[in-house]
Amino acid sequence: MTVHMQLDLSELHRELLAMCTRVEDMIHRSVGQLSSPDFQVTRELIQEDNEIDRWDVRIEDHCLKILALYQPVAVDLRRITTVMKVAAELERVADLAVSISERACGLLNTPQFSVPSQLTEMATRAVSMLHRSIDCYVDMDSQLARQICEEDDEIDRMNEELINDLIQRMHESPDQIDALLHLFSAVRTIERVADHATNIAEDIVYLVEGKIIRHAGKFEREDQASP
Amino acid sequence: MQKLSEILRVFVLVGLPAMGVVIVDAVATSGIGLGMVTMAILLSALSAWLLIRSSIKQEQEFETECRRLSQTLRSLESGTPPPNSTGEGLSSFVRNSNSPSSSTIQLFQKTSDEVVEFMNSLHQENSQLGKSDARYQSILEAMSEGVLLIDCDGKISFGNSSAGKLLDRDWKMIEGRHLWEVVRNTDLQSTIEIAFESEGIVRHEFEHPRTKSIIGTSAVPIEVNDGQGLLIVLHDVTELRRLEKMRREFVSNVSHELKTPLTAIQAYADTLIEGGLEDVENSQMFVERILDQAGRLQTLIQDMLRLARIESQADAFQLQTISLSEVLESCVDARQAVARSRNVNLTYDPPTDEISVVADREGLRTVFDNLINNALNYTADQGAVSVRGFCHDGKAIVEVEDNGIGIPQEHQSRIFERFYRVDKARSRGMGGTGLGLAIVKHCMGVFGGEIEVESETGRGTLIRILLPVSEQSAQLIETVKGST
Repeated sequence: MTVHMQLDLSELHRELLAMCTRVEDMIHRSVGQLSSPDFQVTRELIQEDNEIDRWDVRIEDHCLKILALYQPVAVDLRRITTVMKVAAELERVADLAVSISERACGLLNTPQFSVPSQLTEMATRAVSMLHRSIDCYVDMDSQLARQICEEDDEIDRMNEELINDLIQRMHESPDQIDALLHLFSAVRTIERVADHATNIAEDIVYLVEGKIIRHAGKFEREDQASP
Repeated sequence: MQKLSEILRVFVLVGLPAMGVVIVDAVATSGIGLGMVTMAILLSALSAWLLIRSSIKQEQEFETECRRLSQTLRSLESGTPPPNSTGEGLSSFVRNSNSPSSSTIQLFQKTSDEVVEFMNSLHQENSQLGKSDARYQSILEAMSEGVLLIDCDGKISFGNSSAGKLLDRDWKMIEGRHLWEVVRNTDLQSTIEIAFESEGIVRHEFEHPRTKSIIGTSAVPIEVNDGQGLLIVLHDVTELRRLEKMRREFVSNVSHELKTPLTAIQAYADTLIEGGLEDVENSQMFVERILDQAGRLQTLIQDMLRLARIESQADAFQLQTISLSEVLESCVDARQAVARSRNVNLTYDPPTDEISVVADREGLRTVFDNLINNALNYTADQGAVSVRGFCHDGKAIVEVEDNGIGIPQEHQSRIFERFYRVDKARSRGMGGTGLGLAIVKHCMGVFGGEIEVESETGRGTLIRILLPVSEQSAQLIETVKGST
């Protein structure tokens, strides 16, 4: 039975990584849209997002089947729950990829408007975080995963700066409000990509160390505040 | 404990039968007294003891010999050369031994000598193989091309560090793992799948999504661990493709730039011929337009020729020590009228010290003219352009800053290319040949200077020119600083 479970687990591993590859590919193309928007690419991304949704359901089915059939424990159980959570995060990232692409195409109506370089920088960082969090899963590297969780603060700071900058620009040139709103939405979406990357990294820490680090800092502060 | 059991074994085998024979004899003869029986028992015990002693000695020597052989094998295993003596102890043991098992021991000695000899030669071969392995390893590691060896299961058998760099992956513990797991690149994966199905070399190119570099791959089928694997060679072709793109764009741009004024001239001339000449009011305007376009064509061709001359170093620049502020001031003054007509505030902040640079006067004027013109062209109504000259860190610095539309980050590295337009539709409407910055860059190359760009979209652009200060001027500045 264990042999069969291991075979099923490696099949699941392969399936999840194939999904990772596809979602990473999608997010790269959608971020690329920010500098050169293209409706055709957006249409392709919408199509691919449907496939990703199916993939997510398939992986969850597979996980539930393994849980019911073999009733795994310890690391096997942690792996299956992690796969379920990572697949769900990836499905959300694919949705965000479509959203970024749509926002980028929204900028086509105002051709004189160009995307600020800080946004492309922020997008590159967020995508890199996502990529490295998947690397953590592959390498079972909880140390790197913890590092990625810390990087999210920098993305939040960039998000805040960009949002303030955009608000200021909206005040300065109200005629560009449409384009600036698209940009505003794109910034928020990219920030959420980084959040999902952080969630994946947190799941990896759980997979490797068996410790749930989500909200750990907040709980600690609360515990200290109420003796 | 083992020895005791051996002694007992020999005693039972040799001592007891001897004793038995003596007792049976004594009983048979029945005339022999008790003293004789005791004597016989003692004699048989003595003979048994002697036999045991000789056997123990043989065993000890045999054990020593075995130990020596095992020591030799161990030393070979650990990589140190084995001791040279071969079976001497054993030979003497065999010579001195009269035991019936000496033929077995001789065979053992021969075998042990053969083993030692074989291990010696194996050790030599191993050390040679180790050296050649290290050599090939260092050759593969020093290669700028990435090399990947994939076995029949699609797992990585070998990958050099260049492959890791090109694929942007931390290249640790990759051996024995699947490529789809470690690298996760759709293009590379599909190349491998195609290569496994085909027999010849499969070539493919893809852009790496994160590094944005273009990687050329060639996959060749190869025998790996008794199965068909793949040898994949990866090389960075980004620079090559960039140059190809630049050449393609240049050809398309130059033909477009030449065609536009020609088409206009042709259209106006056609209209004039087909009756326009009789319309006195409009014919004058048409001829003026033809003249404008011809002028534009001429400027373009002049710029192209100038650039070609600078590039081929055929344009003889007269490099001499000239005053920076003098050239800068005259350039700013000449543009004041244009700035006023466009409602742009053009300010000039001259250097505090007199700075001299070694350059060609006309060349330097072209550089400043082009920069100030660009700043004025891309700055909106009520905007500001400021020109500053100063000396810093032994270099003469000229900054031209505007608060215009700015240059997006991704275009900043390309604005010095010939005919490169950030926004194609808008730039042509503003005039200019598209060669200005290319000329500036080449001139700076001749004068030994540098050029830097700082720009942010919507905020403006700053172009900084750094020129080496002439020696006389440098000395003068030092003196002034020393005296203050």
